[in-house]
Amino acid sequence: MKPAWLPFFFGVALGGAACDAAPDSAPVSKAAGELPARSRVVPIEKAIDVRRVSWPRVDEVDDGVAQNLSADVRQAVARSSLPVLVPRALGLVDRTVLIVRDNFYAASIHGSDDYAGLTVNVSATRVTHRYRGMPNVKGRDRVRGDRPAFVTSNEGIWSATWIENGVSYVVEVECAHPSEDARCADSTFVERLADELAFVGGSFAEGGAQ
Amino acid sequence: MKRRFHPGRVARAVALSAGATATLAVLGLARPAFSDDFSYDPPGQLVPGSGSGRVDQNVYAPNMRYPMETGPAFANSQVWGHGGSQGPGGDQCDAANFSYPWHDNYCETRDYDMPLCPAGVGHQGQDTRAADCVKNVHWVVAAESGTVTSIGSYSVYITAADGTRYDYLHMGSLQIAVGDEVTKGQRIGKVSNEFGGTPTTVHLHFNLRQDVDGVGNVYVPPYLSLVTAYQTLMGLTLNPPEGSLDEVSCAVISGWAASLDDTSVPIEARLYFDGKAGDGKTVGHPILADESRDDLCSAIGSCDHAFSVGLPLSLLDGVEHTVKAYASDGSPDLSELGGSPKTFTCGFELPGGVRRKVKDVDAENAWRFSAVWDEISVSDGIVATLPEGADLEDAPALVVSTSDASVLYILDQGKKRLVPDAKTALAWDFDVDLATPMDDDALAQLPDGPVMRPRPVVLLADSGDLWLVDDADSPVVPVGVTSAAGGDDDGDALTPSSGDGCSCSMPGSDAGGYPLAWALAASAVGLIALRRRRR
Repeated sequence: MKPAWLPFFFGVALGGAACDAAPDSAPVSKAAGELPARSRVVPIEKAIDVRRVSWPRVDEVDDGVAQNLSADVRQAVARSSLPVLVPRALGLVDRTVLIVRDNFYAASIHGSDDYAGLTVNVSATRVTHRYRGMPNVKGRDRVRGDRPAFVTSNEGIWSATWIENGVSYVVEVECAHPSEDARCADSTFVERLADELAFVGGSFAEGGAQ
Repeated sequence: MKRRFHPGRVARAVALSAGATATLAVLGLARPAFSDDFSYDPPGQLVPGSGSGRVDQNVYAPNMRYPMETGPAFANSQVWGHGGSQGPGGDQCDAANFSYPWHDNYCETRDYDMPLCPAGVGHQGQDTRAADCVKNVHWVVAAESGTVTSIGSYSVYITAADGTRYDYLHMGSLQIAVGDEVTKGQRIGKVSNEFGGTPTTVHLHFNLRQDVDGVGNVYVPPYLSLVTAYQTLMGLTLNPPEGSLDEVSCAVISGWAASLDDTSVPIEARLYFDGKAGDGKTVGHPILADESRDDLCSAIGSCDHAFSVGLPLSLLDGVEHTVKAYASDGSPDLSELGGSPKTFTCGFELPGGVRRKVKDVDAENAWRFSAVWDEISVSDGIVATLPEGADLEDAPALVVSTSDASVLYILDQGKKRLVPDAKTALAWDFDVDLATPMDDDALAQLPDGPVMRPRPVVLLADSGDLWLVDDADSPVVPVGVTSAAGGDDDGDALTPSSGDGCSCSMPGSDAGGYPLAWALAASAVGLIALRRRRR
């Protein structure tokens, strides 16, 4: 049941803060229209926040895996505002293209050798979207130890997502020929891939604001 | 009986100003065929027999562009449509697949985990068809500006600055490469049937993937975002929203935003700190502009379109910051408010009370402490000036009275703490919908703890520890839920550092400090940052 004062949320919650004085730039007078609602079906009830990252210790960096990244990628890792996890297997880690932006990173990989025919994507974001009334739901699967995860398949593309280091990660596997490739037949491969991801570093900067 | 929406009948506009009418007339002439006929089944209403949809009115990507360059386009199910494996027969080029109304097919029957679907499993996105069934003809365009973060055998992912990922599947004729920066509306490929060697029907499978607080990085419903974007694509638009950024001081950011052609519902103001919309790196913070303000009643004929919010604590650092503000009615283009941008330079004064350790990131997230709005970096020395209290609970335990739904408490250290009013609930981002009902007898058995402070103030120490500044554990007399300010005598000492509202200081060590001037100011104009206003 919703509290009786719930309408305050969207009505007069900050009425006390409303300024009675004329605004600095007075609104232009216009007649109110009586048009049917157009693009926006309902008000958007959400908030956006940037999570603070909980960094692993520097000595937790897997130097062995990091050394298999290209020099360009290692430089990009050092700029990442999030802890970077990448696959550890040769044929994947050495094929990593790393995209680093302020609030996310994405490792895009076209596998080779044993991993030929696979597109692997590992990403993390520190931006979270909060929606009113959205209940907490924990994934029924487990990856990387005992971390709750959602493991699903989208048009044959397997993905696992979980929370680690205070932010959400996703690993995905797409097969060039999904109907013929056992690695895309079920969740086994993507779960193994998630379990084996290695921490290769980041900026270790305090994250959050902006 | 099915409910259908015919939302865009702008030609029926009445009671518009002459200028607005003229604009609409031009838009009307420019509208392509199929515009006036557009209708769509409500979200969550799937093809009968194809599963249980998610009834969800949220627009998860409110400003995206429709992901095809031109219309008409048709959102419906390719599996349960003509030519689909579960369809009524015929082939994919059947005219029924290229007609209105649109049908939602997010959560359509599938076997794989989908936490937001009623069945817990389902289809992750929305199938959309172009004007006809011919492949590699119709351009797919970027729904939002961002970075191409992956290209697979039949998928393209583009990630926007706010972390939302836009997925485009089954395209041909790709025009982009991994790492490319793309702008909203840029051609990225063509509608096709690529599916790893086994063709599907000619369509675009479109996903939105977001980190949803409390759930994780999951596929969210794209249907209403597509509806919104499609209406704009088809010219079913009115005038851009308007508004003004009126005041930015150390106490408040305020203004108004409205769609003057449709004031029946509030729209968002969106704030960008030290950046601007579309720059690819700055996150916009939405604030619902629904407060009543007398001057708006006469000026625009509708009162409830103002917004006000306290400054983010993380920016009370004595450094100049810029805020740019926009009006957003959900259409692809944001309208910058008059008076925007503005700058502020503000300091922080440590409130009195005790410090309570926030144990870890999980607890921080469970309490929904915002790194932007609620947390400020301070030295360990400043933190140490506050006496240490009990560790903060791992998560807020919200309870609501079964006899009076206006009475909300937090259970803390075995005591019940009143959330004194709606403002406070908003400021703490307490979601009342998630509170546990408790009968009055059970509530009466619990001793009273301090009333919750008007807003959370969280200190991020040099050491990396997080501390909530809170009251010492002592019972207080609850105040009524309609109380204007709430709180207690020694709380809420987030202060502008001077009367001019924008000079800098970091006094820090005055643990008991709570300047009278600030108290007066706070009670006068409600200088409470309401996180819930960012909605």
